[in-house]
Amino acid sequence: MSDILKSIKLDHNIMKSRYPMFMIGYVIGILFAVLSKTPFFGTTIVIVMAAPIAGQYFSVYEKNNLEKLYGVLPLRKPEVVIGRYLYALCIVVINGIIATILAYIISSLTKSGVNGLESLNFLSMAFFYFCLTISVIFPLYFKFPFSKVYVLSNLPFYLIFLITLAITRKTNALQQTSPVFQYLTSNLRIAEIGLGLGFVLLAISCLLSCALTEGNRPAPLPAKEPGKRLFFADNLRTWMVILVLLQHLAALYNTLYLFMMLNSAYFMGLLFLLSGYFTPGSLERKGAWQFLKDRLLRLGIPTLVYVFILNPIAGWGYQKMHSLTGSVAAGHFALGPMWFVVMLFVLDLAYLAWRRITKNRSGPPPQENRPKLTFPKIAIFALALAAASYLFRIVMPYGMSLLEFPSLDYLPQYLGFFMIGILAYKRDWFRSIPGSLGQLGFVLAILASVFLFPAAVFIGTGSPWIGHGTWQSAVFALWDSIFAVGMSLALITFFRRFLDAGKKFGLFLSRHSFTVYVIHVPVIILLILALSGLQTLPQLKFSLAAVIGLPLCFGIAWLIRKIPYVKIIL
Amino acid sequence: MNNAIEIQNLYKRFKDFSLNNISFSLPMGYIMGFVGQNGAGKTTTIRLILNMIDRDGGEIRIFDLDNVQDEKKIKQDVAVVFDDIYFVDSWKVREVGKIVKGFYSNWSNELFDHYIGSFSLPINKKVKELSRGMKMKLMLAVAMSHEAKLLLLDEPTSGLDPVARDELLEVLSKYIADGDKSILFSTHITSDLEKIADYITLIDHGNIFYSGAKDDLLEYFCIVRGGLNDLTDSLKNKIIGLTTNIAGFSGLLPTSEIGHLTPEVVTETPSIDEILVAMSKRGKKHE
Repeated sequence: MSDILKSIKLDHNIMKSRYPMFMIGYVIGILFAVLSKTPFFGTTIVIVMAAPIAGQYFSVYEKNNLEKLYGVLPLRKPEVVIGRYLYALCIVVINGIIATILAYIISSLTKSGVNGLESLNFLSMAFFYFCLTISVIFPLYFKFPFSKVYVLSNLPFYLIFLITLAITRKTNALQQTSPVFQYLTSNLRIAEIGLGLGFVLLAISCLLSCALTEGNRPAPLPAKEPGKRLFFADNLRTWMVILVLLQHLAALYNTLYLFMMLNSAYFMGLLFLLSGYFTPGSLERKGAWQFLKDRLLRLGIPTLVYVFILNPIAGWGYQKMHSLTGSVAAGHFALGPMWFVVMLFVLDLAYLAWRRITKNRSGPPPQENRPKLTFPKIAIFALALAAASYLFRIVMPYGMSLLEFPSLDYLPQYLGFFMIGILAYKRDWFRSIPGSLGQLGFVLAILASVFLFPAAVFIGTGSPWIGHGTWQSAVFALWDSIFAVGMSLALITFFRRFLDAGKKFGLFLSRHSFTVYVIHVPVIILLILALSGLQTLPQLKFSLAAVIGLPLCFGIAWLIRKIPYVKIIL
Repeated sequence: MNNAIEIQNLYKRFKDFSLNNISFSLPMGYIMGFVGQNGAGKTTTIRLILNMIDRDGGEIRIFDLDNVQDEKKIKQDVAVVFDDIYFVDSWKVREVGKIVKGFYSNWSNELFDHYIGSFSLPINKKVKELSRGMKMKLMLAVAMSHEAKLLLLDEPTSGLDPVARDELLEVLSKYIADGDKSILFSTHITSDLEKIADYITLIDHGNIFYSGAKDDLLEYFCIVRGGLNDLTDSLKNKIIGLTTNIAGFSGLLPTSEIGHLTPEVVTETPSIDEILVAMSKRGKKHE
């Protein structure tokens, strides 16, 4: 933390010579404030103009070879980037305060009144505009030389500002015609939106800049020990199983739709990816027959147990629940969650067959020759996946189930991710993907969810996005591909960075996660039945059931694995 | 901890240049000359050591620590003098010390004042008003004020007059006198090195040509001269950077090959410059 402060202080020292430039903003601001008789208009101008001046930092940087200074000083790149954004925040806050004081002075001199709410709206919009500018120009300046992108990066903002200026001149007309606008301006809504969105933009942009400056550096820790078990992959699988449990809990409570939708866009795909990752190693260690026997034992028996023992229990509970709540959902828990296991078995068989046909027994290529995972490759994969999903959903729309498989519309993703998992093993991508790709993936996932997801889901009547070749369906496929790829990258690198220790607790969870996957449906249905006396919001019931259900499932899994010989299978 | 710098199979690829699996090490307490013509990969290596650019492969250990993972810890004890100043040109000399000192736990104001005084740097002048020699001294003063254990010099003498160069060498010799400080001195002006370097690393087109003790280098090679009649085919292949003209031939030969020479061929001890020239000719021949 103290190093980030040092970085901010250094930014201040570097920018000192450019501070007089802020005076231009004040002169123009005061001029506008006096002429328009709206003092806070001037404040807005000062803040808006502060953004490109804050960008001047990079001009000083380029002119003075500061790349070398930063290369010499004991500062890490993320500290420099975070410091730069906080420094920009300091600039807007300090200028905002000075300009606000000036506005009050002008208002008392010119005897024009100040409307508190209106000023707050002005301030928050100016703040939002500042953040928008910074969050676009900073990543550009971090990546490219200032002199090359300076004009291009600032041009749109001058245009936006001029257009906004023209519109705000007609505020009165808007105010009378639009009740929405009136509602927004007469409340604190604009202020809340401006401030909130501003901070969110800065945070996302900061993450992006961190990713850009970190470059394509492979992760140092796991890469150094090639033989070491990837604990983070186990931990990630555990987390995915927990998400499956939460997903089914939400589905049964019929709540948290957005959570479910976001979840289903990637979580099963990521489970397939992880399964794909562990498959080639398992085949190499065991040989074809042992591998086949092992798969039959570990995937087949739990499926049979589920279908013939656990499912009837779940079905009984579901019917009982059904009669209590009176909801009319179909009981789709016959094969239940074991569809995943069955599909995995089929994919494993296909992989085994492919290996027998190609006789491709060569081990992973030496480290230098392994094709590295780069952003263009990932982008091409995401686009191809989107195209495949879109085409597939023409015949198999979102949410349609077939032969007990509840989410077949994601089949292209499952297949694609499984194959990527196998490739990831062969090319050692889990160890070698740079952390910056994870950050980039996360930023892209968020951007896609902000822009593409609403565009697909909220435009048009009915649900055109589910498939049948509509343009909304194409946008939706693009969103869920970007989201799935981005989240997978983000989670893999995040878990690798922070959750790679083989701690006792994590080992316990990962050992029991498959068992939990098999048994969780009847357990949570019975839990919901037990909690059915509770009269409260479904979200609260969901949270309560989650808090009780997770330890309960792992506890029962622990007991089950205590039964003799069960450990061979589970 | 025996080595200040240990580089193993360092690999970095650019569009038009690559650093090909270079390896060398600099023991604690010594000065290593890092020699090569312009564009040989010296600055790239230094930038990689400082983690200013990402390596594509290999390992760099400074004080036995990984240069990326322990970057901050290492940089507390590393100082750099580049060919050009890297402070903001509107800072005054006095300000530079104030701004930089917060970053180093070992910073000493007294030392800084001492060096500013002994280098006779004008404390109230702005960085941009300093001469080239003064800029170099300012970087040196900052470098030595936090007691850096490793000094990286990237072409510090280019553009300096002979007197300033001599002063620099004197300062450096004093600085490493206590035995636990090391210097990597990158340059293409080899006369600097003949005076102070203990070790020499020769780099050419991204490949290490030689790395080891300076005296061994001068013993390892010899300059051979002779008439065209003495130039056999096998000798042709062994000579590095062969030059021929009507009068005869000359070139660099590993001393181990000296026994096969005819008595007419003259051998001499080479200078680093001569080795450098021969090495670069070899590079051209290979392309």
